[in-house]
Amino acid sequence: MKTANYKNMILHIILISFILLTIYPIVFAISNSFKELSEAFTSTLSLIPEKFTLENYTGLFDSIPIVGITINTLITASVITVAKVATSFLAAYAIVYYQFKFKNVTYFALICTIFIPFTVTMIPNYLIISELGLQNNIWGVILPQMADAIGIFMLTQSMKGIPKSLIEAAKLDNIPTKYIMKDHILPMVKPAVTSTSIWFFILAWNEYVWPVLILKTTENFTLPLALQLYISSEGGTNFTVAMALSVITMAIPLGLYLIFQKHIINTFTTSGIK
Amino acid sequence: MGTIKLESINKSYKDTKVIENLNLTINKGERLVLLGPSGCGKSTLLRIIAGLEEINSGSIQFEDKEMSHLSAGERNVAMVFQNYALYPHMTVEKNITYALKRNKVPKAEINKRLEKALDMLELQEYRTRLPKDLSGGQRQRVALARAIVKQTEYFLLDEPLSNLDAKLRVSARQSLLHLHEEFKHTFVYVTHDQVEAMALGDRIVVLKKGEIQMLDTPENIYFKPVNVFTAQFIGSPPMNIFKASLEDKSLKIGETVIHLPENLRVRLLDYEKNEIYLGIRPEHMSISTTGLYDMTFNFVENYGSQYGVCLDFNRQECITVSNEKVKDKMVKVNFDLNHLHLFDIDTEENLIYS
Amino acid sequence: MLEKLKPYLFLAPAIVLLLVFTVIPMVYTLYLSFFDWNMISPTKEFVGLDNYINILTNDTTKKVIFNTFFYIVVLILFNCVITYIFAFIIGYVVKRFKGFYKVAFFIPSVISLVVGSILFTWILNPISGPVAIIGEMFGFSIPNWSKTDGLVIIVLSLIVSWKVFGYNFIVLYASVVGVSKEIIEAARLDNISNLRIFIDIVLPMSSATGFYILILTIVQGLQYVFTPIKVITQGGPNYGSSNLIYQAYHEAFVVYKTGQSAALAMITLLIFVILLLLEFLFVERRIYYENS
Repeated sequence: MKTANYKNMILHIILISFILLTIYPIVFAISNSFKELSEAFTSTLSLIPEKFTLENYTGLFDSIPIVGITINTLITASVITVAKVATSFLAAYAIVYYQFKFKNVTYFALICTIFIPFTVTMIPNYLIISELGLQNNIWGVILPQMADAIGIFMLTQSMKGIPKSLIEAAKLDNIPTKYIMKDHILPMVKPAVTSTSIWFFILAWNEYVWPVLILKTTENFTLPLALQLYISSEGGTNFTVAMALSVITMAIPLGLYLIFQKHIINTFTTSGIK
Repeated sequence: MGTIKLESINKSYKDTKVIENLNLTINKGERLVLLGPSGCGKSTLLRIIAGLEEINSGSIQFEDKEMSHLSAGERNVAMVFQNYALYPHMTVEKNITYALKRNKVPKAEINKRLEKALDMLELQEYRTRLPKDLSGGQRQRVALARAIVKQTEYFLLDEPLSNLDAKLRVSARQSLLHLHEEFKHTFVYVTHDQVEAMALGDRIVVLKKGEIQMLDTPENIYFKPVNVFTAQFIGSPPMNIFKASLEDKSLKIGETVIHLPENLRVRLLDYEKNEIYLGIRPEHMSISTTGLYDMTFNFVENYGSQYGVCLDFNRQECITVSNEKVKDKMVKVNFDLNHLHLFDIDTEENLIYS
Repeated sequence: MLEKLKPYLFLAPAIVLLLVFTVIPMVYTLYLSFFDWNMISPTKEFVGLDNYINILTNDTTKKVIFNTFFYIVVLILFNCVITYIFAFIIGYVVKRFKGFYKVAFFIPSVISLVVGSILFTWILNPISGPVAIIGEMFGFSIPNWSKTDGLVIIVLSLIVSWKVFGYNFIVLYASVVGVSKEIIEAARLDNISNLRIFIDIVLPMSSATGFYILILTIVQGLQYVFTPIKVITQGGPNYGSSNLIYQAYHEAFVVYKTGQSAALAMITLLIFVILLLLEFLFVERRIYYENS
């Protein structure tokens, strides 16, 4: 099987090159965020800064309310995550463990809402937020995003994955329902709840569409929106600062992913389908 | 064409050795059964022959041609999988002909082979069905048909009957024998079922932890097992093994002296340890009023045609078969002297046959 | 009695949220699509199907609809076809480092598309970006892609693909390796090439998931592209990178033509509904392959 090994080597080389290409933008951002502007332009290709500087990060503090913006992002992402996971968990729980009228129809209808494009709800939601006086307010960003059926779908899938025999065995042992839930179902769904929460947090952290519609002034911005301030500069005078802000924006999602990667990958491999 | 020769095969997964320095020659046209408990490496060995597992070292030859560097596809073997591995989206007909088509066998030839296989395995009426619309037995026959049409010398079967119910298994076993009569393939057959092994094998390889315990005909494996493992693995209920003591060349179980035939007594002359295993199959023990040995009756198992009688012989448990239900608390038992086995207490090897 | 109410109680929060922020707005958007309005004026003028007729006859929106299909084709190529092939290669062809590949492929999926857009704008900058510099060494130059029709769509799709590749890969991988190992081995024994195993066996056996990813790529991909369009091109050059999603945003929040925006949104929804119906028909017919 020597030829097979040889072919395998080539495949590995291709795959690793592919990964290096996809990782390159991240490395590019980190490396340039520690370069001086002049160096960033003269030695664009080099990945290690010749003269390591933190100026770009400190510069951020001077030009925008970066702390406030980060806190806004944190609050927005946390509240959306908690609300989505809590409502989704309850709904999934009802769907998997209770029998009631129109159960399948309800589930089907809920899942269908996943496929509604945001342009369909954009104007009315904008009007609702205006009516509530939540324009240019992070609560205006939070509210519409709480409505999302994808969590119901993910958690339903993982709860369905718990073997029925396990529940039946507990019932035979005359264990009360609430203990079955507490001792068997919750621990088994926990990994899925954890990774769903992480995923929602990352999604909300990165959200751009709603903030761009609702938030108007810099002090109310979230991180992705603040980044936008650094795009239009054609001359690129803010290039390294933009890289620093990019690094800050992606640091938390990346960190969370790297910590919980096993959970997240497992949840997507087991519940990603139908 | 037809012999398979394995030389010094070593296979390990990470740190666990699955097969260690294994040598085996499979003759042209014979039915060789690889038998052993789960985890003994029998399936791995079969998959090594097929090319589905790489080996760490050693050589695999098909009729003097080295195969170990060839991929599974290049070895031209046919294999029947335990779960049949039928293509679920293809009809019976397509399942059987798919590989031939892709390997550019002429169309007329494909049709000829297909019709023959369908006839032989009585699958004509199911040819347009999908696997999910077939019964277990039918699926198994489709898997066989798919293997037959390859027209190769080498036929590998990985527990092909284990997913069938008991009744079907007997008839499927017979059709496998017919098939072999017809084509005279070199059959390598993996099973954990000793009855299947005895019924199908020209020769049987008994495997334990990746090592060959015994390679011989079913008769020899049954009557002349080389060690305790083989003795107990073949036969149901398994052979009784008593721990016996040796004093002045007389053999005792507990306080009871056991009478040995001359050939065994001779063998004991150069055995220097104080303890020894005595083996006897349940069917070679008989309960009779003239029995020499007193045993306590424990309980009885009903086998339908016979009873399995569980006894206690000086605090060692044993089992015998009887046509009548035993009711007495104490019974007298005879040993058939022609079928006594002695095993070394340490190596567990048969002192007569190994 | 309370026990009977429980499931409804549990479902209530999710349903209320979805009703308020998804279902009712959807109906209201349908309503708005029959009116001429600018979001501010107190009166809306009923115009019947004019908004729809206008969209389907107007040259700009025609171009946008064409662009949308162009996006769909490019996104499918990047996020379904290539992803599928990668899933097969990692699932069945290579033997080692599978876990590493899964984790590494997914990394870009957690990064904000705004960050992605900015990074790619710089990396692919036709004058000073690293790609241009390397290109120059080998004697070719990078076109000004953000101002070039067609190419701009390819690059924007590439940015989105960078982000969604990992997710699609994981889902497809799960389905591809769901094909029983013995079936692949049976084919290998029969000397079937990897390419043929992929086309004849893995593809049909994982087709239900494949179709789901196809739909998801279209539905989500078109929405994801909104971010790089908004950040990098604002739909330009001359609507050359706009799609139905971005155009609906543009009509509503840039030129304040609420009716046009609503009509565009409803057309998008209609396309998605048709796709979903196709999926249900397809999956109903095929799903048993993956379960048997």
